[in-house]
Amino acid sequence: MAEASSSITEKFFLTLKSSDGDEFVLEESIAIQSITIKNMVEDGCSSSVIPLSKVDTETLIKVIEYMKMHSSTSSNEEEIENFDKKFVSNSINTILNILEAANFLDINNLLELCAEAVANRIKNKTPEAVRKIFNITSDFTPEEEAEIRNETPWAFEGNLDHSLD
Amino acid sequence: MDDVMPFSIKRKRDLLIKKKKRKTDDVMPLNRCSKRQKNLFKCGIDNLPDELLIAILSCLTFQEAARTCILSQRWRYLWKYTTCSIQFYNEGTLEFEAAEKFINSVNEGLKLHQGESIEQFKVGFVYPSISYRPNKDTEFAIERQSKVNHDIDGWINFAMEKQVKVFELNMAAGPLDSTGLWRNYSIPHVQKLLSISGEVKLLKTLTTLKSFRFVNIRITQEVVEFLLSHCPLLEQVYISASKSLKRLKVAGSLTKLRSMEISNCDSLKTMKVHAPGLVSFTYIGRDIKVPFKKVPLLSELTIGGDYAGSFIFDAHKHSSYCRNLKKLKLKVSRKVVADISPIGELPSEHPQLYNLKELELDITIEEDDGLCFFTFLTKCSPQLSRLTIKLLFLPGPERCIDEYTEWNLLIKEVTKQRLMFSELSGCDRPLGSISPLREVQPGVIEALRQYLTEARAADRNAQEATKFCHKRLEVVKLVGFIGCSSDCNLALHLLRIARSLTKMIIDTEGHPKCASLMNKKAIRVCVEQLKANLPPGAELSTHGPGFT
Repeated sequence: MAEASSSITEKFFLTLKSSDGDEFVLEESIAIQSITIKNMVEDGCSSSVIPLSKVDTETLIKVIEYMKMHSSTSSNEEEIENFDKKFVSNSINTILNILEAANFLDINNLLELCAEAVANRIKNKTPEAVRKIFNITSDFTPEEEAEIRNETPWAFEGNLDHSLD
Repeated sequence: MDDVMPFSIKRKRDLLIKKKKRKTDDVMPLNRCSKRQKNLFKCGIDNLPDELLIAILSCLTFQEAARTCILSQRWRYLWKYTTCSIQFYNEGTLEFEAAEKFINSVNEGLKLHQGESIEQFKVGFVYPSISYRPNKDTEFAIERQSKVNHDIDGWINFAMEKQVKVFELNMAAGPLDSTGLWRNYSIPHVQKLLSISGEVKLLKTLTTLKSFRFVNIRITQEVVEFLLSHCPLLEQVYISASKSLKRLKVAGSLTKLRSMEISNCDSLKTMKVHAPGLVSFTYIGRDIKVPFKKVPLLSELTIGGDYAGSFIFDAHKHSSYCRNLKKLKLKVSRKVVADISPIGELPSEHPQLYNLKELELDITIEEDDGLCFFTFLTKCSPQLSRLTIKLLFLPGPERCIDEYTEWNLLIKEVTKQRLMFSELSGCDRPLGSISPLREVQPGVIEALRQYLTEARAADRNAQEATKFCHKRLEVVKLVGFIGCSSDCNLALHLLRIARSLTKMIIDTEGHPKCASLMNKKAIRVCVEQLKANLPPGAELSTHGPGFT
């Protein structure tokens, strides 16, 4: 397999299988943006279906869209920029799923993009808004909360946004 | 790699297969989640492992990350392990009390950081400029300043301890080198640098430092050259507004150095740059001798101040590095604009920008100044495909003639505005011909009319001189458009030149101080004219408050 993949004239395809059992065929040159997949290819696992038990179909579709857009040959800078902008406007749960998938697949750019997107929804928000946006339940008593705020008062200064956008 | 098992059957399917409905109970493994976590959401942020939450927190400023401590038990201490970047910025610290509060919060915050290393440490605030009454408060002020300086020493020490790769000490928002009792934070010699964190720690961090930025810090040649020679991995260097930097030689084994900025260092007399890998350079300042010696890869250049004037008017001095440029940004001050020939003649020699693809001109100009002169730069750039012109307008004389009845009032207003503008644009001489006037002098109106007539004639001459056809220019963007004769004429002239144009963008979003100069009616008229003159297939796109 290693000999075959070193040839540059022929296109090679990989089959990725989501946790839901759906299979996707993808050009190897695109798929190896994922270091995890790249390692598998180098280890000679690419002739078969690559099961991605931690990535569901919905998420895998998004990840493949991303990899296709970011594969070096087919897109220009502006297109990529616009794509990324649109990409991060996915719902927060989708982004979180993609983030986890990017971590598992080891696609650093995608991981950074999603982490930044999540961070942008934390930025400038009141803790209450952040809890609602991310469905986090506080397990502090009001007394504990007051105490924690007192430890780092500088962190709670400034005008914070209550909205859930 | 446990997940990978070879399968012998290979099914190929179209990418857009119908989504199966996801079962919620077998989607996400929970084994990597924190033990403290009690709410087991099947999808959601609390399902992520700590390492990913820390990655998210690392995209926030330190203060924003710290604020998440209140979310829940799980989040309580996560922020302390942020690795990417610790940033503290505050522009509202001109008053000493605010600055002191900011400094204390930085100190408190840094104490709480638990991670062993951080990628970036950036701190920026306005250095308070307090003018104390002499005698009475002097001692007090000096005492306080020495405490502030001691705290900043502590930040540098922190950065060295955490082995930062990117370091920034930025006091840009403050007055440049305050004139009061305080002097800006200063690293005058290497000894000082060594004393802050000790030689061992300093040199260790410098071996992995990739970028440093000092803004409005008094730093000297000795210190900068020491840093350059001890940071083998350095990729970016920025030094701005350092009054104590007089000379600079960038040389040695700086193979990684890609990007450099030396700007507004007003005392800089000479600079030499040998850097084989340097791609991008920004120099804003005096008209010094061309600093580039061995910079074969230099392709992105930003220049401003008198040096930009020299680039425009004395092209022969700059021929050694012009040819390789792909991106050029010229920051043209009103002072440089005033050097344009009063009859609109082009400079006798043109810069040879044979490889230039993108040109940006940031021009500070009066409403009635001609702008067509600058289109000659497209003529010397045969490969140019993208031209951006950002305009910052100052009120011009015509405004005063038109509104003759309110003359005195206007003069006052204009004088006041000009002061603000001149501060803003860094222009050091009276702007235009009328600003020093306080009341109507006999003959002034006549003189102004004369001035205007000449300015218009000069612009027409410049248009004649730059009448040619550009074959590659595709996108022209004009930002800060206010709808006066200067920008309207420029836009129309550019349409005549760029017959290959695919898009012209008129953006009226300019500096807030120019908002009052905008003439919406004139903008509408101008846009109609532009539409009528667009080359076939080109589109006109309009943005900003001028179109509402």
